[in-house]
Amino acid sequence: MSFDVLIVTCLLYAAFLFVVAFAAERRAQQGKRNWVRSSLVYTLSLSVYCTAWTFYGAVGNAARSGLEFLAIYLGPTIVLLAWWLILRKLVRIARTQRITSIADLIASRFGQSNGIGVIVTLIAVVGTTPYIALQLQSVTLSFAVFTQESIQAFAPRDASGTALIVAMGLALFTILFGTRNLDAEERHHGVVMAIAVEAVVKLVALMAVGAFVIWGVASGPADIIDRINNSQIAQWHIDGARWVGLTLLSAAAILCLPRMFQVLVVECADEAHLARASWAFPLYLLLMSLFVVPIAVIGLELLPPGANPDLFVLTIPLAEGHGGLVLLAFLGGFSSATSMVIVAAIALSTMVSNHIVMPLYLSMRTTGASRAGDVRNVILVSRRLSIVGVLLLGYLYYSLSSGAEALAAIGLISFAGVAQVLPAMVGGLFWRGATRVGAAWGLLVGFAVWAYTLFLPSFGTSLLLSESVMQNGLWGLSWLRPYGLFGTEGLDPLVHALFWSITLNAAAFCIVSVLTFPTPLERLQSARLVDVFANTVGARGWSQGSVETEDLMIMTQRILGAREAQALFQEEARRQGAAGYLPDASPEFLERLERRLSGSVGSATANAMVGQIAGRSPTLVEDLLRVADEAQSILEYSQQLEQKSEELSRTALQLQEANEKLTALSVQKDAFLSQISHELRTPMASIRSFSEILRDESLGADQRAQFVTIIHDEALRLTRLLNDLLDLSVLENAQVELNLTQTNLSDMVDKAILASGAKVAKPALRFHRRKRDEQIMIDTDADRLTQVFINLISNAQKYCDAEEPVLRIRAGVVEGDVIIDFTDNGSGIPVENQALIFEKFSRLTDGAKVGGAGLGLAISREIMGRLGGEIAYLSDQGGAAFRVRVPARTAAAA
Amino acid sequence: MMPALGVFLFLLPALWQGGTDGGIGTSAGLTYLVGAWLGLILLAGGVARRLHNPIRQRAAQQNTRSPEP
Repeated sequence: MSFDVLIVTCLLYAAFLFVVAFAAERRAQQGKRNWVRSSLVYTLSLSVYCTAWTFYGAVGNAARSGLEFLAIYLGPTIVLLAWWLILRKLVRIARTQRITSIADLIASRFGQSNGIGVIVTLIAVVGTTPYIALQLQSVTLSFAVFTQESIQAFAPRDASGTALIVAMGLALFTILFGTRNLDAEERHHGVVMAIAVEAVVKLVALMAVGAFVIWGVASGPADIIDRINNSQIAQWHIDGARWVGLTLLSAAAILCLPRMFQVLVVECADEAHLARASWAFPLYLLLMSLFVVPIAVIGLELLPPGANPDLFVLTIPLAEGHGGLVLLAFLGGFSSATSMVIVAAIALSTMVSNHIVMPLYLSMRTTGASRAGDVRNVILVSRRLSIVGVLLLGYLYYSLSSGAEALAAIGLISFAGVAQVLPAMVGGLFWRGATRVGAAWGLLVGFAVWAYTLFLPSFGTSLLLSESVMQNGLWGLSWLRPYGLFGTEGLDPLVHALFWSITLNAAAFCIVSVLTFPTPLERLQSARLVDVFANTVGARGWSQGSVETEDLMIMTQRILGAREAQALFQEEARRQGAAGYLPDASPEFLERLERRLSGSVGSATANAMVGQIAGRSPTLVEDLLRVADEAQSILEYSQQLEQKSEELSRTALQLQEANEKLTALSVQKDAFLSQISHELRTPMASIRSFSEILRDESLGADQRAQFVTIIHDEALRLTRLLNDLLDLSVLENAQVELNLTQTNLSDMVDKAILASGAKVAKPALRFHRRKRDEQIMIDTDADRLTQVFINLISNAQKYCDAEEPVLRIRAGVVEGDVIIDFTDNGSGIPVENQALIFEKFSRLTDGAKVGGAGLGLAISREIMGRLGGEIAYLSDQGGAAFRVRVPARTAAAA
Repeated sequence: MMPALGVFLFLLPALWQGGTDGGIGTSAGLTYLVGAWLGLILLAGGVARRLHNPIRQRAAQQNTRSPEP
């Protein structure tokens, strides 16, 4: 058979698959999904688990180590038998939370944490890379079988070149299949359909080769059993630990492999499909593995010892000269490889673009708030680039590790890497105490151990880990040897790596989870996911929500107002070219509407409202939290406003009070000005008139002396008045200098009584004092303080209206301040005037009668202020009562 | 129950003594595993048949009962 025929066959086959996928997509769009989504197609699509490794590698494995390959199929069988416990829950969660990948699931479980998503994505990419390399290797090898003249020498001459072409072809294929459109649910009906077809092709191909071997080469089942018993692999020599390890590993892998998650969970349309798959998929696996051992045995018998057992499926029919069968077998292998690569690349590109590229892109955009209209294109481009990147990585791995490993071994490295996700996933599904930090630690620890003990050594000793590290451990520490951690020597490297990575992973996950506390969002998500069956009853189906444009219209009217809403909808209808007023609720329109509404009610609320009416999934916790955030910020804003308005009204009240006081003072001032001019004019008038009389020569000496005395008295009164005014002005302008001395209080009171002349006045003022209490030394300006006392005493003498006026003087010390009370037995000062008596120019009675200018108390208050004390009126003391408080030590010197 | 049975049946071979002198041969092992496998598949088929209809009915009920999103 010529190489050209092979190429043409491949291209035709690819074209056929494309047509199948296209037709399936078409049917799905038309709503005829019943057949496209049948459980048969679902079950067949699961066969993406059986890759080129199964097709070629299992035979190779059987030829090398007997039945060990079976463990790889027994694990998935157990998982599917347990579908009611695990898979059903996964599918339900994926449906309610719109999960698009395994990274999405774990990120979502741990509070929508993108960090976790990134870790899982990286693990998936690194873990899947060897697997893609494996597919490239198998396709390359199978091509090589045809290009070689002799089937004995399989070493591919130009392996890298073929692998690169295959990788590029597969990338193109995947982009055409997987990223033709964007679906919110990440369903790919066309791809699933094509994979189901490929599943049939590979099953038929393998069974055809198997049947040929049993009935064509050997003579029936009995003969085959005889031949098995006589072959090199007749003896049962399975390492128990490896058997258990492989079974559990493959069980973990079917849950954790990105491509398996994609077909098993994401593409699952109906939980009932799981029920059928639970027995049909194990049956498929059984059929796939049934003929592996016969093929291996016959291959060992027929072909020369140097032949590569991985290629027995191809080389046996080739050696027997059955060209058609060879082609079928080749297509089977080709199908296995392509289906795996396509699904894996789709799954990985979804993860890479959702968890790495898009967050980066969105954070780099400065205008992150406004939703970009072309995000869709960005997503598509990033998906396509991711697909190319993933395949390129696979190719690089292939060219780096080329020929170093047999097919099965590469597959197992991949399995073990991806299995690191298992503790976080299963723990997250069933244990509400699991936290984000715990999951991150578990993942990182497991991944690191896997990389160190299995992945890096797979490159050979020359490339990344040197020979000395492999022999003596990292930094020469023997307990850190990649194949003998903590002295666990002699184990199979895979079992060893698996044991340590999963154990340390789970331990880190549990311990850190117990030690840390989840965030509120994590709590909500864990409740939603762990108790998913309590929250959702039964299946809901994925029918596209039918959007009621009228409902949207009503809602928009409420928010924007009727006229504006109608204008908006009409404009949209015109744009869509529809007659009438109501446009179709296309996604673009919904997006525009949401943007418009978010201007009025906030983006989160707008999103939730449109989502509610558009029948999208129920409002997510995140949406609710965003709504709550918005409400919170509005609340805070209104609180601030309230606070400000309170402040304003307080200030207004203070201003009003000040204004009232000013008005009252102004009135007083006017009154006083007229009084003072009157006061000044009265003595001036009498001085002028008496001096005129004195000019009259006819006056007697007696009269002259009397008039001169009057003139003198009036002049004194004028002087006193002017002195007071001057005094007050000096005090108010703080120009006074204090003359601090140590003086006895009693002496000062004595001096004040004497100076006031109250004892000699009529009626004489009597004093009640306790001289013993007054023996207090005060460090103050004695003259100024005495002046205050004089003022108070003369006031009592002037204004006390009792028949026998008595002034009681009491002194004492309170908290370091000296307190002197002056209380008379008069009628006191009316309450309404008490606030005014210390103001300048205030006088309660007619000034002419007592001859004061109303400045005494104002001066006293100023003096006390300078001395660091105060003077106050005490009400309800049975008369006018003033309290003078002065510090025993005056600190202020000015 | 069934997964536990599966684990038991599938991991049993790990305890078998390999060796040249009259241990269990590959063909016998293959026969045993295929037999166990088929048995489990038949069992799962029976269980799935019983569970299939209730799931469908519940899904249908759910769809008719709650049209809201």
